[in-house]
Amino acid sequence: MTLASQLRVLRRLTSIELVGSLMYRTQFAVYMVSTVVSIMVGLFIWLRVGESGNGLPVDREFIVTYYLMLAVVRTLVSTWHSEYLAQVIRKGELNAWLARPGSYLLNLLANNFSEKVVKMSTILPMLGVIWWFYRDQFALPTEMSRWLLFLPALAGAFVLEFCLTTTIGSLGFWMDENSGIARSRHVIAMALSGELVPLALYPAWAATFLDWQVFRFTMSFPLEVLLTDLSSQQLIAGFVLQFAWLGAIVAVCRFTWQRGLHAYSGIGA
Amino acid sequence: MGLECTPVVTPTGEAILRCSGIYTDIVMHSEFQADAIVRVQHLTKTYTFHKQQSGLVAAIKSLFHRQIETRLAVNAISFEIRAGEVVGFLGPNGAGKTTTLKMLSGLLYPTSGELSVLGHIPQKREVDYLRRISLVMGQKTMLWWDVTTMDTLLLHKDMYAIPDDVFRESVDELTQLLDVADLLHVQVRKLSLGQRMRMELMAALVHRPDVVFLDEPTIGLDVVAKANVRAFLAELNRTRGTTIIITSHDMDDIEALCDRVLLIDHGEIQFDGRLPELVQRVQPRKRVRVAYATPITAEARPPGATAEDEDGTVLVIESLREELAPLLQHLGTLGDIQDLTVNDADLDDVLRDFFTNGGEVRS
Repeated sequence: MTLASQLRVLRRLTSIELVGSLMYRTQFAVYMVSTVVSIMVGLFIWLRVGESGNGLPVDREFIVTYYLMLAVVRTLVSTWHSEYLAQVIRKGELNAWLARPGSYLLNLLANNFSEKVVKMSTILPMLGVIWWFYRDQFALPTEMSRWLLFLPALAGAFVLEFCLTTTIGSLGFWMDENSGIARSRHVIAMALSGELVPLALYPAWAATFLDWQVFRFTMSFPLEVLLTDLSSQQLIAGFVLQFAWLGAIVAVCRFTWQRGLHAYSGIGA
Repeated sequence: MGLECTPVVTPTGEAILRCSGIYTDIVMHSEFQADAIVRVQHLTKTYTFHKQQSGLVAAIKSLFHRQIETRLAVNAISFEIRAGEVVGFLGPNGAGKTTTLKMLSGLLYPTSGELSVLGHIPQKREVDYLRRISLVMGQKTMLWWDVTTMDTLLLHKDMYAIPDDVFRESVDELTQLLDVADLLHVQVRKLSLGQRMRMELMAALVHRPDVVFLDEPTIGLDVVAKANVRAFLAELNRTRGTTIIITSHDMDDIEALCDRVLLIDHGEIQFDGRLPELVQRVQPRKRVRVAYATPITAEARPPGATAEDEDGTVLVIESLREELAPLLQHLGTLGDIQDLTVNDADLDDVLRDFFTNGGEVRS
């Protein structure tokens, strides 16, 4: 299939998935409340730590802006289909897709896009309320260059996340249960992606490891590009590393999927 | 020392028999079907799985040593199918018929053997191949529940790159044939099972495939819905010349649709031929049921006759086809006949006989 026809299929699938997602908007709203609450807990804790005079390496303005933007980045980047994909494989529901000239991965992408639309529409009003309380400390950059660099970093973060999640989901070709791996990855990612704690707040001795590890590029890196004053050298190094991780994870994802299709038993039809 | 021969399909699609003997290797060109669009040679599929023992001790043991087993699902089967044929795969559960269908449609990779459909290797799942086939599974849906069938059809239009005019024409034609004009814009979740199956067929056929694979297409449908689906498929084969390959446990599907049946058991083809031929081989006897105006005494009844009622006015006799004429003549002499029927054995009975006799076909 040409790229143009794949994009047409993706557009059509996204509109179909969007209809389905809108039907479950209440469920998404509840889920987004929990997302906002967990992020706000982090915000309040670090603001309190800052107020207690512990000498944080970042100021109050950074913390407020970081956590509010984290909620947006997390919603746009996070993928959640690893357990669902494994279930689709185990139940043989992949059959209907394999006999059609459209990859199931396009459907997963469409599902992600549609849910992001619904989730963003529910989370933005909630963030608006929090922003109003902290509007004096909320400061987004005004330089266009930062926003222009933020977008590819964000897109790269999404592709990384999507491929990591798909790879873990593809384990369903061989494993009866992948939820343990999926949850472990989620916990590790929370700690190392900057979701739980901004990477800037980790001790200095961990800096090199944190800078190089993959999860930085799934969430923290786009925020660093947008909110911190990275030098050109740091920006280039960051994008090169993100691109390298992307190449590696896309290759692993592709390999796992292709090998999985060889092992697929199509049970359930 | 004899010749050892293996049928081989060459890259050009030619069927040859390659034989090795004591003097030399020779190649014998066998009779092959020039218009065959499905060519299967020694197709084999084995499944590998972890054997799970019951109990806690076995579960703990399995942490250190997992017992891996393989199951032979399809065992070196070979056959060909010509364009426009309607072929039924018959067999008990686990016989290998659905696995064969899945390999033909590209869902599963064969373990060994050669396979070609419409000149393509199915498991490569090339777009050009997938655009020429369709797979309908009675137990799995390809429709989206939250939207209308038209949304799925429009998706298929993009997926299969169907030109606008062909799409309109195809939708109109299928709408008429399946009688679904009032269902196209109804949310799929609101359709009955029978209606949904008609819409599944519509979604599967809107791109006008050359080959349609059907896995239990009438499962769960009521009598009327089944009859509609069968009539539609027969019409599709007649008007478009679509090749149909079907698995079904419903013998009425097979009787109504299939020119040819492949009986598969334990992963092997036990019979490949026309349905009447199978019936005649497995159940060579016809069943004669005759009702008389007055009871026929036990002494007067022909050998092997059983009385269906207490007084013996209705007799049932099984007879070989060649002995039927003299039997009927004899029955006419026994009394005043009120009703007489002569039937082939029921297909369900034929298959039950076949599989309980270990797959032996009487000659």
